[in-house]
Amino acid sequence: MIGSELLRYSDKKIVLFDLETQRVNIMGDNLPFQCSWIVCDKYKVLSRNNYYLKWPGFTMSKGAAAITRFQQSWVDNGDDPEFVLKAFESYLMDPSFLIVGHNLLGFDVYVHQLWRETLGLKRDFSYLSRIIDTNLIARAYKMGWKPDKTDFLAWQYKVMSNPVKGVKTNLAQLNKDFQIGVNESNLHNAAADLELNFAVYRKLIGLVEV
Amino acid sequence: MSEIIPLFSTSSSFGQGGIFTVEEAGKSVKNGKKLRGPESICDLAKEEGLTKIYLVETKFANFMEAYKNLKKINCDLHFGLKLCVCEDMGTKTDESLKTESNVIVWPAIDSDKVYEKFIKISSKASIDGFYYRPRIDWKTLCAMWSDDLLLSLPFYSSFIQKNSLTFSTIVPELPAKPLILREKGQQLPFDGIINGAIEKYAKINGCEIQDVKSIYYKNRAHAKSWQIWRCILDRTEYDKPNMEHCSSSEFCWESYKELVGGATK
Repeated sequence: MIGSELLRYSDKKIVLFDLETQRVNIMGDNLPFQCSWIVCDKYKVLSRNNYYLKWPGFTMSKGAAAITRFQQSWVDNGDDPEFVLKAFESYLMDPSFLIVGHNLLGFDVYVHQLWRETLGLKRDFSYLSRIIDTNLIARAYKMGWKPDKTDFLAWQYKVMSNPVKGVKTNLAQLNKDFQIGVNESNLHNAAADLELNFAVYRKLIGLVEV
Repeated sequence: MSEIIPLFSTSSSFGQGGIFTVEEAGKSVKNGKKLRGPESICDLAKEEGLTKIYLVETKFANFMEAYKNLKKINCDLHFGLKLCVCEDMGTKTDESLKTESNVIVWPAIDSDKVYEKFIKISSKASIDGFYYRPRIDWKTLCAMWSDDLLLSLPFYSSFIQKNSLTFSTIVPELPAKPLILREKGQQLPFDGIINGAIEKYAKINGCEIQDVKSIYYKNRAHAKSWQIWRCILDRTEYDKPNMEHCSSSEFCWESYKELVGGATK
């Protein structure tokens, strides 16, 4: 069938993930306090995972605390970051999964590396070629840019390097654009963001030939 | 080539370089203690017993000071001028920014005359081509070119990188066959994409590839100081620097030494 390689027809399992963090710096001094991922097929969510991480001496930046409505008790009662990383990476590093998320290439993949480095592990970007960044696909959709499937990762970086003034692609905006109807007051909580992100992903793969 | 060349740069390369100075060796030490403040490349060269320093700068401000202070410790200076090249330096529009990429010009021979040419090219870019920063165009660069200059393409900002990771399509008229610089051990996620592109370009055009490592600060622990300095220049803040892909602490001497296994002279 023509177009059978498109994601909309793919039977591959998908892992969507999101990290909530101390600040918005991707170079250092930034650890995730919440890691959520959901496993899906193309129609529905198969499993949900949500962890808060317990880091010693964890402090939040004012800006990030306000946006995420951070509560210290989440971290105080959180789980061992090493245990959570292992569980998370059992999906992330599994080549049979597609990896989906919002602004993964611009933010989350870097925080994931900071998390690894803090635990004494080396950087590992080997999973990048399986990433579908809904922030970038949404921008391409709004701008009418056709995906280059021969090197999809490089194409996503090209889209990232081309921000367009006035073209909003945050999840709240896409919730409105696609009339998904998720309650926006819960956004910036990783677990809630993923439910909306999955709906946005399903909408986008129907609209864009990826 | 097996050698990895360390490419230093100082804080005079606004926004495109390191936090080193070229202060005279020993000046930042008082009563045997290192004074607070930026590291000097001359101190580092003395400490490590380096006999040559490759310095890449976007302007000439530090050239004479670097030359004199390195000479005092018997260290040779190899000065590379990093130039922004655009399609037409007379076109000063935001659209023209998309045609920009960088080259590094080196002297092919050690002579005062070569540095005079550097100054002429640099002045042309600063006076006639300035648009947010000094720029020259390919046509002018070709006209000012001579055989005693050597052209190289920086890994993260050449037209090959731009064509691979942005929607730009830059097809330059190069003044000479370039030496392509390949960064090692910087641990950025798209290094593989650029690497593939430069290997392809080098094969098609018969260019040589030289392994290098850009060095902006001495140790990984200094990466934070470097980033804060960048935030000050960009008028952003450390909690939200808004620096795309600025995520690696490996642009340092410490990382270079690990990469070459301690063999640094």
